[in-house]
Amino acid sequence: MTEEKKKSIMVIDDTKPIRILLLKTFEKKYEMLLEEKGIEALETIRDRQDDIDLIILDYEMPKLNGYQLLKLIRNINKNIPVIILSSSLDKEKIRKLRLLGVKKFLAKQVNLKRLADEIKEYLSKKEDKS
Amino acid sequence: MNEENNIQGSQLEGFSEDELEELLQVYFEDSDEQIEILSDELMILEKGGYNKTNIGNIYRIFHSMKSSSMSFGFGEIGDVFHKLEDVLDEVRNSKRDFNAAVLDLSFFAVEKFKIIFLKLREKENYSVEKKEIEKKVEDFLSGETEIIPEREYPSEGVIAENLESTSNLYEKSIRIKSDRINKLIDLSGEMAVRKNYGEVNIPKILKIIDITKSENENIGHILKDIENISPEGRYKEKILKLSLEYKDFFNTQVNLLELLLEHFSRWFFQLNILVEEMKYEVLKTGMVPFASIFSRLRRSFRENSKARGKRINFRIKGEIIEFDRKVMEEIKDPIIHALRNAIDHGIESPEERKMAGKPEEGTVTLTASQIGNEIILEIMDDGKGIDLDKVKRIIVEKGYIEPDKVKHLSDRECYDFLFLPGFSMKDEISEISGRGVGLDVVSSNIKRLNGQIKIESGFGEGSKLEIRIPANLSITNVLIFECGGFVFSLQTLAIKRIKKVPVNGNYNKDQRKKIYFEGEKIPLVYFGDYLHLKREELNGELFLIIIENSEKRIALEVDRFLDHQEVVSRPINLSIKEAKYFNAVSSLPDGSVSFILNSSELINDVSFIEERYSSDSEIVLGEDEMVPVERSGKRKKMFIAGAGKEKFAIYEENVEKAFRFPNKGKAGSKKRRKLIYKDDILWLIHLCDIVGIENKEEKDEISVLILNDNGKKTALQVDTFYDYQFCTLDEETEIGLESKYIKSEGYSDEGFKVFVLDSKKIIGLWKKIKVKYNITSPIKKKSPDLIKESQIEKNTLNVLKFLVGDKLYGLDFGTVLEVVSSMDLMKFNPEDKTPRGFINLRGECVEVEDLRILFENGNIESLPSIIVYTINGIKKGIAVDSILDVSEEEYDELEKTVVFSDTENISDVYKL
Repeated sequence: MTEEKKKSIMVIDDTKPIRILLLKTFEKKYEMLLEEKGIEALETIRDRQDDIDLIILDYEMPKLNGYQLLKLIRNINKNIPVIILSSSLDKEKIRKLRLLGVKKFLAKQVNLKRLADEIKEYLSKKEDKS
Repeated sequence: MNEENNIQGSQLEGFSEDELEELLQVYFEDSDEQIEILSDELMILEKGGYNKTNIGNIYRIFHSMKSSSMSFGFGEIGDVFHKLEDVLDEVRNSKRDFNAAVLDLSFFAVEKFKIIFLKLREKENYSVEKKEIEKKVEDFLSGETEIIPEREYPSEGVIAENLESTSNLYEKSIRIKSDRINKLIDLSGEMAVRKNYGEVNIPKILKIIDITKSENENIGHILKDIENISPEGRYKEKILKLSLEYKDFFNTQVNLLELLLEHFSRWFFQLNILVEEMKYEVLKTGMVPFASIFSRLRRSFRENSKARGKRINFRIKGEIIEFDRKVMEEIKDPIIHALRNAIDHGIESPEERKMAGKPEEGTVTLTASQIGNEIILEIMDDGKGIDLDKVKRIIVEKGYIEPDKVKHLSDRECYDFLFLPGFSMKDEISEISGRGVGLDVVSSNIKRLNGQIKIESGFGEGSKLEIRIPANLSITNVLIFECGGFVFSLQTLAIKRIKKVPVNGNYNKDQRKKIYFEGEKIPLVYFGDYLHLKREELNGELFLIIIENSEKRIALEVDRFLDHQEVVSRPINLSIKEAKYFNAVSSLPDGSVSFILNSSELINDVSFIEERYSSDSEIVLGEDEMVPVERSGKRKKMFIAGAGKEKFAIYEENVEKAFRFPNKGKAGSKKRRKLIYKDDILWLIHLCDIVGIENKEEKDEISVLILNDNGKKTALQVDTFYDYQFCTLDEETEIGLESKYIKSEGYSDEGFKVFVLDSKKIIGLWKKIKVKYNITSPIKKKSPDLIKESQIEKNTLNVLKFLVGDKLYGLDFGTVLEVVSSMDLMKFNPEDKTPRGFINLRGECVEVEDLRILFENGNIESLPSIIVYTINGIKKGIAVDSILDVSEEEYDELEKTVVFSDTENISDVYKL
């Protein structure tokens, strides 16, 4: 790894064990930002949008669901790639989310290997573009 | 291995074992937390019926448990949560009715999940519980269309639907509305009080029988006289006959009456027991153990101390103390708040603690104990204590008191300011506490429960918050007194002290009065003046009740004290002006009704009452006996005990129990006594011996204090008990009695001198005393007539005898915890031929030395008996062939024959 700065990933999930699991899995390679509440995540994104390279977003959250939250995120920043974690998505929801620029949907039974691959792919893609 | 117990799911790869452990810990802790929130949510639903928010929350918890379980590789558990999530999702979206069955299913699942997570932590098989839940869900889904009655929850108190369920557990517990329980508690309490009414009447009936008997005798005499004076003949015959008939009749009547009363008494006695038992059982149904909120307290404590970056050890004691459900609900938040305060303001940061020479890790202890119907909660921290100077500064800054007057405030008065709304000690506002909503909230919550709260602190030495609340709200202890011809009662919780004070000539009822109490002049008013009652003539004595709240103390004068009793209080609602002085009514054993007074209103209005008195010249009473001498030093509540002619004070927190028992020992016996207390065998140490006072009196009763220091106990025999009292401890003065077991001297508030015992050292004796009952410290003679050389009793030791092979050995019985017969030692390696092994003692691993191998004498083929004993607080075991008995042996003899001794690991084994 010759990068001068670690890429950073924001995890928005209201389930603490999952946040911690993702943190422990990826903290060595990436800088992890953990958010429990959508509203607070929005604040952070607003302040530090240039530092965030990828958002992993839980679809089923209280108050704001993934779609509503993503819409708000997109009001702030249109470009940050987003991976959605969900256990109950239907076609309609997927279609709506795609319109907001989401390309990847992963099952909520988080498969860490798969997620790691996806993250790698996303972050390297971004590297190429810039 | 069962595949259902595949702990490290394939999911979690690439972590080291430690990391994995840590991650799983996160998952377990979160699960516990979620399950608890789930119970709370369900409880709310149960109480309040359908509520969309709560249903949503429950759904969310199931959902989030599902995803975290799955992500952590516990797919099996995730699946179960998934099923429940689906049910709740339908309820949430109104596709399914919310009814008792849904609630029941959820409650059932919560209970089972608790077990599942426990088992999961221990890596045990949880498939039974899992299947139970699945079965329940299936039953629920299939039975739902036909069987579940369309009754909306809540309908009746008892949920009895869904009875087709075959689960045993289900039938063992039912849920009952708390209203019903409360009603039952009320009624059974009322019954218990009423039964006293019967008790009062039995002696009356006895008296009537007695009178009748003696009257009967009198009449007998009269009849005899008539017989004697009447002339012989038919007339006399008739009189004799009548008199005989009369006597017969009356004797039979009296006999019958006596018999009836005997039957009645016996029946009544049995009824009494039953009523008491019923009251107790009914009360218990409404009670919850303190332990039930432990996990919530621990969780909030952990979070708060983490958030403040402090390392704090949290101890809770008193898990078996039971609270009224209502009280528990009300007390939970104040406790959490008080704990936050201790974390925030009490315990210093690790660096500060290091600088102050304390261990970096702070300790906060929460203790619950019970005296009668009163529960005492203590929150102690070993932090920096309360900075009185700072409190005084803030008092001045906030303008409560003029700068020049603030130095006259006593410590207690200063602490009282901490309970004022908006009074904050924090310089900067913290996230959790320090916004000025602090102790005042705690205090007002406690007040609402008729409780009391106070603070004790030494700057730099930590502080203690003491909360006293009734364990049960409807049954309360009251002092019953008479005033102006009426009977009133006052909850004993509110009473500081009762006192009889003689009055001298200058007492004038219309004059303003003060009385000295614990060094303060406090207002004294006649209670009857609150209610405009006519006062009785004085007869040489004033009956005073001293009550206090956090701001003030006052003395109430009443006509006389009547009784002290447990009563059932019922709230009242009266519209007269004076009604604010009454909290409730209660019926007294004689059937009359008495008002229970509201002490805080009485205190609030005291100045209003005082205005009615002439203020020309103020009378101050009780000067002679009630003025404590002004002394410098710490004030602390101590237990006072007497030995010889001296009085000794022991820190209140070290006294676990004080009791007396009859002295059955032979007079003049020099043998040491031991005492079985709870599970411990304690040697009885006489206070006189360790402080070097001659003690020659052999009493009929032995007074014993059980001292406890962090679980280590000692039984200390004293000559007399006095009481708990506040003492001013003086660490500077020279001590008249010199013994290393005396720490300092002090004066009690009543003015007598006490020696403060070093309970820690005395408790430390428990070990030494077994070796030799010696006192190594020099005992100086300061007052020659008082102190003589301490007499040391003859050294004997109770020894548990056992056989290894054909030889007889012994072990100090005082250390023995239990004997396990026929249990084999386990070894890590079956080929291991060394003496060391271990046994599984109810889930605890105890290391065992096999003396049969060590002494190369025993019969290794048969199963050994294992003696479990304690040394240095650690449980250890020895394996022997067989156990004989316990007997007393002389110590000197034993000392020569120690065959096996290793102070670190094993206590002395003597050859006999």
